[in-house]
This record gives sequence, C-alpha cells and structure tokens, in this order.
Amino acid sequence: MALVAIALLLFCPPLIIVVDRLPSFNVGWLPLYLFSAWAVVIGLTAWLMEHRAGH
Amino acid sequence: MRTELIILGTAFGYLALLFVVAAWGDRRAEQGRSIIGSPTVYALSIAVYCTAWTFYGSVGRAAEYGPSFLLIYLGPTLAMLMAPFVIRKMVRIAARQRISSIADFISARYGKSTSLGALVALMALITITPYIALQLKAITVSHAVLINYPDTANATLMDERFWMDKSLWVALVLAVFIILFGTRHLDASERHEGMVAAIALESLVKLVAFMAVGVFVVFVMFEGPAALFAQVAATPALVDSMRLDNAPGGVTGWVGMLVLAFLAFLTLPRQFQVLVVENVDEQHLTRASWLFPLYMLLINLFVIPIALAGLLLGGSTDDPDSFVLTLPLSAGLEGLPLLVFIGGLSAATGMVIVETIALSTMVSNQLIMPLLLRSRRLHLSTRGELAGWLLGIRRVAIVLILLLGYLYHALIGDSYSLVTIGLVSFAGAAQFAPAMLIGLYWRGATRQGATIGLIAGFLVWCYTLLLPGFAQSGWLDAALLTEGPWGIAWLMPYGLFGLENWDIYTHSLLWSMLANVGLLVGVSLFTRPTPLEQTQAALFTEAMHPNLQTTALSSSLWRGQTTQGALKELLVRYLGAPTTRRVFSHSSTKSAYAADEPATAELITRAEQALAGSLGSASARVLINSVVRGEALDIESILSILDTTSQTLEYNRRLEQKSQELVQIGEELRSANERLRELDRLKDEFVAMVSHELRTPLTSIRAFAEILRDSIELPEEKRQHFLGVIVHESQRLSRLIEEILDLARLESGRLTLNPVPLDLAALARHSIDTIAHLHKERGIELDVNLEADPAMVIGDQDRLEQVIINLLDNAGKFADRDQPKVRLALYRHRRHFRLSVEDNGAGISADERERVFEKFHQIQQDSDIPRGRPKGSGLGLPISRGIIAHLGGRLWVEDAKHLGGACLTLELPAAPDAANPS
Repeated sequence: MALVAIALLLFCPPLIIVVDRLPSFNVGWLPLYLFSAWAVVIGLTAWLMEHRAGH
Repeated sequence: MRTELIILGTAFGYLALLFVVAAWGDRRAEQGRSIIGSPTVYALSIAVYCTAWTFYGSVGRAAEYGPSFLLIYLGPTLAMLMAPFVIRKMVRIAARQRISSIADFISARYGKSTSLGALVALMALITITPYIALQLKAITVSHAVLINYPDTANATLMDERFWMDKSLWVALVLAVFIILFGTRHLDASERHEGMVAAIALESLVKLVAFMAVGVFVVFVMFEGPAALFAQVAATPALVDSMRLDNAPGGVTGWVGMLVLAFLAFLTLPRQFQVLVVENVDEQHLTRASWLFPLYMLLINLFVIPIALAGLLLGGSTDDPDSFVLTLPLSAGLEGLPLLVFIGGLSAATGMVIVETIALSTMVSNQLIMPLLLRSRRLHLSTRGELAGWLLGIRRVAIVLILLLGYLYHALIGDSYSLVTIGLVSFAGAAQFAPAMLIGLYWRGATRQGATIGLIAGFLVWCYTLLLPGFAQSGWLDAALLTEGPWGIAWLMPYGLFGLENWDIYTHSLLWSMLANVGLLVGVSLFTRPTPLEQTQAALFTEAMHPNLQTTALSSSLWRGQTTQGALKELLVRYLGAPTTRRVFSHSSTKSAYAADEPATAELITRAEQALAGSLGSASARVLINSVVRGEALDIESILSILDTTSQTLEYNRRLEQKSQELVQIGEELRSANERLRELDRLKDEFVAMVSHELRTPLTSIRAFAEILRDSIELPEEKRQHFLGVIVHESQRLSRLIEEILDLARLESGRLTLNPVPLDLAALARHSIDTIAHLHKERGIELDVNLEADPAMVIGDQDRLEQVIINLLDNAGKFADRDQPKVRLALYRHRRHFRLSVEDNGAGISADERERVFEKFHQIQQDSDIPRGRPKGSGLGLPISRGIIAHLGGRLWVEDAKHLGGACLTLELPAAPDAANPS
C-alpha cells in the first residue's frame, strides 16, 4: 500500500505542477519526469514482489 | 512493393499464423503441457489493454495534448500495484464460483441476480461495441494509408463499398478464429489456452513493431534524441504542447483521467477476461504486477518522439493518429510500414478477439439464457441435450457482435476520432466499478442499490458523453451543447449544474460516479438484502478468509434435497454426458451412482458450479432450484461457520503457542537436569579427591603411630623422627582441611573479607620475608622488582598475603631444579596494579593454563624430572583465584617474559585515590 501511495504522490499534483514549472529544457521536464518516476515505481514493485516471492 | 496483394497476403498470412499458434496452444493444453502456466505469458495477455488506440491513437493524443496521454497507462499501473489486494481477491472469487464474465461477477455478488446480470451485459454491449468498431476502423484506416500514401486515406474510403472494406473480411476471419478457439468448451470459466497464447504473441508483435518505428524515427530520421529535441526546442509551440497546461482540463482533468483509466482497466470486459477468468494461478499476479507496467512503459517510450517528429515534418496536414505509418512511408521505406501495419493489426485483432469472447459469454449467459429458461419449450420436461444448442447461441452471438461492431464503424465511426471513441467507452465501463469494488468490501451493498446506482450512472454517462457525441455528429440539435435542453443552461451536457470548462471525460466521470456511488450506498442503507444476497455478500467480502478455502465450507453451502438421478438428468441436458460424468466422478462420495439415492450437499454444489461455468451463476441457480427442494445456507449459517472456524483457528493458535512454550520449558528442564547431573558428578569427584587427599596423611600418621605403639624398644632417634613425621603430616592435614573450608566458604559466598586500603608493595615485601627462609632452604634465587611503590589497592591483608605466599611457594616448587630462580614484579597497568610471579621451570602449556585453577588439579610433570618434588594440595590456586575475584580482580597464567617458565599474574584495581593521581 505504501507503494501505491508513493505512485499516487509521484503521478498527481502538486508534484507534477512543480516539475512542470521548472525552467524549460528542450521539450520540458514533465515527459522526462513522468517516464523516470514510472520506471522507479516499476523497479520498486519488481524488487518488492520478487523479493517477497523469494521468501 | 506496397501492392494490395502483398499487404492483404501479409495481413491474412499473419492471421493464419494466429490460428496455428492458437491450435498449438490448445494441443499442448490437451497434452497437459500448458504454455499459459507462465507469469510472463499472463502479463503479455494482459497487454491486450494496448489496442489500436494505443498503437495509433496515443501518438495522436500526444501530438494534441502532450504527455497527458500517459495517464491512460499510469492508471492501470496503479491498479496493478494493488493487484495483490484487489485483483487477487477477484481471481479467488471467480475461481471458487466459476465466474465467467464481469456481468456474471456482479450478478453473483448481488444474490445471483438475473436482472442485474442482464443489465450489466446490456450496458457492456452498448459501451464496448463502439470500442470494437474503433479497432475495425483502425484496420481500415491503416490499410488505406498504406495503400494510398502520399494521398490521404479519406478520399478513397468515401468511395469504398462495404464489401471492399478490408476490416469486414478481417472481422469475418476473426469470427471464425473466435468460434474455433473461444467456444471449444461450453464452460466459459475454463481457460482458452490457444487464444491466450495467440494474444501473448500479438502483444510481442505490436511491441516490436512500435519500438522499431520509434528507433527508426529517432535514430535514423533524426540522428538521435538530442538532434530531435534540439529541433523541437527551436519551435516554441511544440515545447508548449508538452506542458501541463496543454492537458485537457488542466490539473483537474489530469487527476480525472488517471482515475478513469484506473477504473476502466479493472472493469473493461476484456481486461476482466484476461486478468480474472483466464488466470490459472494467483501467484502469476506477482510477476504481472510489474511486468505489465514495464510493457506499457516500453510501448509508450517512443510515442512523444514520434508525435514531435510527425509535427515537425508533417505539420498539421497529416492525421496525427497515422504518424506511426506516415513517417516511415515519408522516408520511402517499404518493409517497416508493413511491419507497423501488422503491429496495428495485432493490437486491433487481439482486442477484438478477447472483447468478443467476453461479450458473447455475457450475451449468451446473462441475456439469452435467462430468457430461454423462462420459455416453456426449454423446460426440464422436454427431452434432448441442450449443450450443443447453447454453444450455437454463443457462436451466433460472436458473429452478431462483430457485425454490430462493423456496422457501428461503417455507419457512425467516421464521426469520431480514435481517442474519442476509446475514452467514451472507458467512461461507460467505469460505471461497473462501484458495484464491483464496493461489493467486494462492503457486505451491506444490496442488489437494489447496485441496480439503481448502475442505471443512474449509465444514464448520466449517456447524457454527458453519448448524446453530445450524437449532437456533434449532427444527429441531434447542436444547441443542446451550447444552450442545454429546452434552453436550460444548467442542464448543458458538458456543463451540468454550472460545472463548465472541465475536461468532458472528468466532468462525466464526476457526475456519473456521484450518482452511481451515492445511490448504491444510499439505497443499500434503506433496503434489506435477500438471504441469498447476504450469503453471496459474505462469500465475496470474506473471500480471503482462510476458512473459505476449505472444501468443507463450500460443500456445505447446500441444505436442499434432491436425488442423484434428477441432478444427473439436469446436467446431461444442459452440459452433456461427458461433463456430467466429470462432475459425478470428482465427487468425494465414493459410493456408486444410484438414481434414487439423495444427492450430497457437495454434489449439488459441484453441479451448480459446473452449470455456473457454462450458463452463468444466475441461470445455474435457477436450474438447481428447479430440482432441489430447500435452500442454500443463509447468512447466519455462513457467519456461524466463519465464526466457528475462526474460534477453532484461535484455539489452534493458542494451543500451538502453549505447545511451543511447553517445548521451551522442556528444553530448559532438560538443560537444568543436565547441569544437576554435572554438579552431582563434580560433587562425587570432589568427595573422592578430598577423601584421597585426607587419606594420604592419615595413613602416614596411623602407620607411624602404630610403629611407635608396637615397637617399645625403638631407638630414640627413630622415635623422634617418626614423631616429627606424625607432626608434619598432622600439620599438612590441618592445612588441607583449612583450605577445603576456605574453598567451601568461597564457593558458598560465606568467605568474610575485610577490604581496607593497603599497600600491595609493602605486602609483597612482607610476604617475601615470610617465605625467604623456605626459599633459602631450596636454594632459590629471588629477584624482586617493585616498579609501583607504593601500590595502593583495596583488599584484605591476610588473604592477599596468603595469595602472594601461595604464588611464591608454587613458583619455588616448579622452578628449575638445578638453578631455581623466581622473580616477583609489581607494576601499574592503567587503573590497576599487577603483581606477577615468574619461575624458570618448564612452564605451563596453553591447554593447562585454565585447568590449574580447577580443584585438586596437579600439573603433569615431565617423566625426566625426578620425582620427590614437593607437591601441593591442588587447592591453592583455586582459592587464590576466588579471593582475588572477591576483591574485584583477576588471576591468570601467562608466559614468563624474563625467566622463561610459568608466570602467574594477579591484577587488582587501584584504590580510588591512587587511581587518579594528581
């Protein structure tokens, strides 16, 4: 459930508003941030699930 | 190369490959070597979520609304994170109750309600048919783009007759595929192994195709992402399109879309089919919970670059939905566009196959079967098997659903973009979420509440999304959107109750969910569920309860009575003879079949489950009720079973805890007993040793005393010598007894010490003086080195002197025989004083160094050392160590640094004043 809370925090305002308002860089930070946060959530889930399954 | 023949040949060749893979999957399943028993295949089958909408529409949405297109995939990611809690529960319930579709699931939860199941099936048909149409439209459009490029696709599509439309033929081929591999078994809850294998393959094909075009666009057309983004950065309009402001509805729309995608992922009939019905092992959810999100991330990785590249190169002339095809075509490629077309075909056909199976199951089990069961012609009194007939109904439903989808595409589809159709369907399917999710966790939700909530939510969805779509297509007055019905502004479909300027999907979701959830909860609070509803509610909400996994509970759900013959007749009629034989053979009742014998509760439950898998839970209950007199267990009985088993579990837990405590206590007792035995052994050993030590001088005294008594004429010199021996042995005896008493007092803690500050250097000098005469007799050379002088410690003077004399005496005894040397040193070590006594004897081996402090232990002397060396009692060192320990110090053996023999060192804490010399 903590992972769901982290994912919600990463994918929802206000964090995405903060990222969106960062100084412009090429196509902007928002797409890069979203893919990075998504990858982190997937990585954490994989680690948690496979670790638990291993036990 | 891009001829009609090659394209059609490739497309239908690919479909033929799907047939081969599906047939192979089914054959392996029949041989007991299932290929879907893998979490990876399961995760790939869930990727049926990524339809033609993802394949073509994501790029279109990214081009128009920026990164907000990702919300369609972030919502399912959240849902998969919750898979261990929510989806696992759904899977368990579906497996236990042989649920065959989402309509069956909701119907079963609310008392196996026929009307509710039919309502959900009807709603699914209305909301999902456009979605199927969308896939067919994607096939038609992508084929037209491929054929007509660089001309636009629309020009030729307008003139095309329906039999020229390739999607019609694709739909017909799919109908054959689905009939062959989706209706092999009447039992819809059984896994479609071949179909799932084909869907997993399609997921791989569409991923490879999309990534191939992404790599080509980024690394070939633009020489890498840096070059592409540099060109984008030079176009401010494109940079702005990637900002949050460009998302429909801004921040509110962002959150609304996330929630919508989350709910739709769980409630879309095809997702329910692959997630729940086709699941073969709950454990597969563990891998799928991260592998499926990873799949979505990969397939979306190049969406933004392709969209930006399309906007840079094609501008607004090309349809963004077609960028995936037009970009490689514009580069003059032939093979890659064909691969992209096959990828899009995979995405579309995968969705159509699974969605059609799910819908046809719902239509046949929830809509047609209940109607047929009411027909007199199908009543039990009629003879003949109906199993084949039921499969026929499902097959006809498949063809009709696909034709309906095609008709929608042919007649209405052009009015909407891919994304519009997809999101409208999403919002429609999301209406199932309250009845399903609230019903999973709240036992108080009733059938009336769920039904009214569903109807209200569906009507609001129709009003806020479906009717405005019709108005935009020109079939309704456009004033409906701008002025509201009859000019009532607060009833405007896109601005209900004055809530204007919201994203239309978030707006619709908000009002429909408010109505749906509000009425479900509100009506449930004021209505009474039927006994069957209560039972089902308990079985759903308590699905993860460990007791519900026991067959004892599931087999005791029926209390009705019927004969085995009546039950068999029912099953043969609806499921056929082979399935009936399976049901009867799996029964735990080992007795032979007897038509007049009563059927057991377990057999009735198995029969109902078998019927539910084929006809839906509502129809199964109707049929079972027609032959069984009596009812299933009511809620009180279920709760009683749960509570009773809960109590039993609790008792078991406590018993187990007590048992563990007893084992622990037993271990402690065993250990204590062993310790007692050891102490007893030591006591016996001690008594034996003491007896031996006492007997030696006593024997000597007695012997000499007898000689003196019996030999009157013994010379005076001899007499004196014998008397001297008697006195000496008596003294030795007294000393030994004194030492034994000391030892006993030490071990019992009764030794009284008088600790006072004293100078250890002065005491050492006094001890040396005391023993000097003895050392002189033995010819011992004594070296004294008092570095610390004075050396103030807290101790008992007499006892400490006893220890030092004992150490000096021992050193003298074990020093070298020819040139005996002893060295006494006193020095400070940190906050302690150390007094060491060395000798130049043979020393003490490492393994003997602790044993010398054991009672009566005598060091084994080397054989070449002549005997006659004075021996001790073997108690001196244990007593010395005990005294030093009582004074807070320690005594040990180490190597002699100066003389090479043994060295005994005692250490005592410095007295407080001496410890902190100013």
